[in-house]
Amino acid sequence: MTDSRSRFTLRLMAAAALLGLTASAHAVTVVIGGGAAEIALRVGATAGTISTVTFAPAAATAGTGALVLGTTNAAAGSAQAPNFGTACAANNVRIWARARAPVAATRTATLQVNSSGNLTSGGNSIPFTDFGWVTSAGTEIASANFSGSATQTLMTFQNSNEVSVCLRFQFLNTTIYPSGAYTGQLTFNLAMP
Amino acid sequence: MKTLTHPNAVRAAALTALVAATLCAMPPARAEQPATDTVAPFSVNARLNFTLNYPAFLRFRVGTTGATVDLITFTVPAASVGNSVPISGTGGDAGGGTAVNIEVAGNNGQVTITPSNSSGGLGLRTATLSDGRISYDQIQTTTNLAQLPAPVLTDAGGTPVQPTLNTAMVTQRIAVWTYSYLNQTIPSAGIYGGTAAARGGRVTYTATMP
Repeated sequence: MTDSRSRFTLRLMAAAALLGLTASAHAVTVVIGGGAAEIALRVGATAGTISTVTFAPAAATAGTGALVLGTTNAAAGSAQAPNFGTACAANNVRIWARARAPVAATRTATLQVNSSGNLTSGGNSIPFTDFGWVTSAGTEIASANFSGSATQTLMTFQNSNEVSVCLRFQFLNTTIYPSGAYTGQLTFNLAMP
Repeated sequence: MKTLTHPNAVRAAALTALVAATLCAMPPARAEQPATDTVAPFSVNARLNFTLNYPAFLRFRVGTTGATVDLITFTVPAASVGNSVPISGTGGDAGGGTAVNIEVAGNNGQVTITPSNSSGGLGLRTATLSDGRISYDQIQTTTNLAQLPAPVLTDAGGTPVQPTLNTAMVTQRIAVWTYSYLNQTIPSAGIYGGTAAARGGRVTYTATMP
């Protein structure tokens, strides 16, 4: 009997491993096991790195409304093991959030972004409302523009789940600004009661 | 892309959770972990930097876009020659041909638009030098936008103008400049100016910015 149970367990694990690979490629919300309550958030690269998205409008089209897609490195969209084993498309930023609690569906996690600041270059500034994103993988965060709010809600989901989406950021390019190297920082917040 | 809510999906999720639980039993790769909070109320932050390299540029358009150089033609009826009744032009890309569209955009300071012409300071002439000249003083230009004035043309070129800045360092103005022949003199008959630059009919507007 012991041998029989062991063989069954091994077969189940093999099947789970296969399903895990499938989920990595396609699923954007994955149910996870309940456990001690916790939340986790990743935006861009892991290992404590703050990813940077770079925009470079062309002189010929600056201020014309021609969208300018941002670029970033591969680390910003790298896989998130174990449930999201496939990297985002090039120049995408992975946003991954996890909310867990002992009993499922009793708490709601909320992901917000603070885009109330500006990109600045010397005394000049560009508001984050001039930027948006296209969701290239996932539906939990819809394609949209930054609102300029300190508490723009991107998505909510109940425990115990992991959600992962890939976003391609873009500069709307509808206004002419003084030349310069502008920098700014967004802060994403994941919260759960 | 889907949310795992189908019964089969639930089973898949359970199996996936089983895999996750198995992986959780492994020693954690701390360097790869995102920000985590385990104490209620839960709250974690993650940051993302944006950098935008905005170029310095100056764009300027007079008339039809592209390489086309518009030709404004004034035709004076014999009965009206020299009667000081202005004659509208034809051939422009605005105002039914009497005018041209002007666009100027730049982002590095005050823009200045300076006219010059191909007459060598003498005005328009025909193919025959002995026919005399028509002064550029007889060509009037008006604008429909005070913030983008039209230069007054003269035989020497004309008076530079400066579009009003929209904001510090930035100019973005669109206007229509309308041309008319003032018809205040009686020149000899002939076709003055035209596409042959040597006859003095080519006006060049040059936009500059620091």
